[in-house]
Amino acid sequence: MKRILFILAISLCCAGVARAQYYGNNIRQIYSINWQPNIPVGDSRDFVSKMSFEGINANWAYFVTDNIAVGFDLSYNNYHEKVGQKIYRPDANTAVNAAQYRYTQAFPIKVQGKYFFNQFGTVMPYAGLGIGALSAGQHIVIQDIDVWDNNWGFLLSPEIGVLVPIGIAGDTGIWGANITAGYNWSTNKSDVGKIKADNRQSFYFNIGLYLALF
Amino acid sequence: MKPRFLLMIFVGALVASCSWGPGSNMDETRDQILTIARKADAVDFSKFSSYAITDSITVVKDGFKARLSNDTTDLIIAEVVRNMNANGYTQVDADGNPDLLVDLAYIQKANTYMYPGYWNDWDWWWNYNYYPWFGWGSYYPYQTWFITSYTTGSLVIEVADVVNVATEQNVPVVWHGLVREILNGRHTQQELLEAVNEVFTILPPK
Repeated sequence: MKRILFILAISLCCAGVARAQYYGNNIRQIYSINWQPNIPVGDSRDFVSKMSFEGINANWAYFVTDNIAVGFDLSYNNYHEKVGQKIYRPDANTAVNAAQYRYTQAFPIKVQGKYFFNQFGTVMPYAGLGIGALSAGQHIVIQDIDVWDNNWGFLLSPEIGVLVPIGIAGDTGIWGANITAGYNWSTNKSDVGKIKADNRQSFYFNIGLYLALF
Repeated sequence: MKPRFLLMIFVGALVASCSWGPGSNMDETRDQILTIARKADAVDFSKFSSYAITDSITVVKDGFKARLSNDTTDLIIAEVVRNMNANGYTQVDADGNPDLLVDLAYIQKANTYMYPGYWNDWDWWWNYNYYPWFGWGSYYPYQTWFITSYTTGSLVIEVADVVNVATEQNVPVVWHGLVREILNGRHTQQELLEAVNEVFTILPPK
């Protein structure tokens, strides 16, 4: 029995080393491209409350140690919502009845640090923190009238995610699926059509593919 | 499967599945109706009891203007009459010494910036020979900042006070209704009449 356990332990150990050599500290950089749905939170919900399914994300991470990678993260999100016919009173002697089409185009740009918890394993969970800027263009469209505001803010975004390898990319690396959940908080202040916001917040999800290069 | 191939499929599906732009889901023609009503400040509407209304509509096409009368204008005028009556006013003829005059304009084509008073067709009432002492322009005793411009297909309804206008002065427009881009061929007659009714409902001239 002891012999069996010993062989099993040695085998597992070897397997671990093999994986380590294959995936682990050989990975130098990771590229990923993702679909990025967003759920607006807080003040952002006052402008467009609906979840955005139109989002794309590109990410690059470079390993500076076995577990820590730094890189860039770029996203584009389009939020939109129709607000049906409603009476607005800009002042006591004016009434306006109109349906509005509201949309926000957001561009979060950030430098990012990621910590990989299990870099020598097959599945690589990670936690990251991004710091950067967020540009948001917010529009209220009524017929051909477009009331808009463009604002920038300081962006902070923690995230957690996991890389799940699927296959070998020749001699150059491995590829697989990337799943991330994160939170964007930025200092964008806006006042469009009397809808005020002191900041922008959203939960985002990255669902996509990555390519890890040795 | 090669990762590059899968990546191409993934990105292709991503781009194809979304509109990726400002876009618009305001497809219903009802969503494209904008009505604005503006009332003059500090006007006591309770002192008005009667009104006269035109039997035609001014058609404005850039600098050009003319009077138009057809089945559609008759329907619009009838809807305005119905609303004025509903607000407690009595319709009288132009020579029946009305307190208010109601005039309508339709912007057939607007290539230039148009604003309240652009066409000044109040002198058309001169044809009745009942108001020879007015200046026959119009003036707006309120800010018109909100009504940025009139565009093609807009219908304008104006109610002017002819009780308190002094000789040789332009008539003060005390209530202003705008249905923007309604007569552009994209709306049904029912939508047109509903919109005319709506402009009186959101802020009645009383």
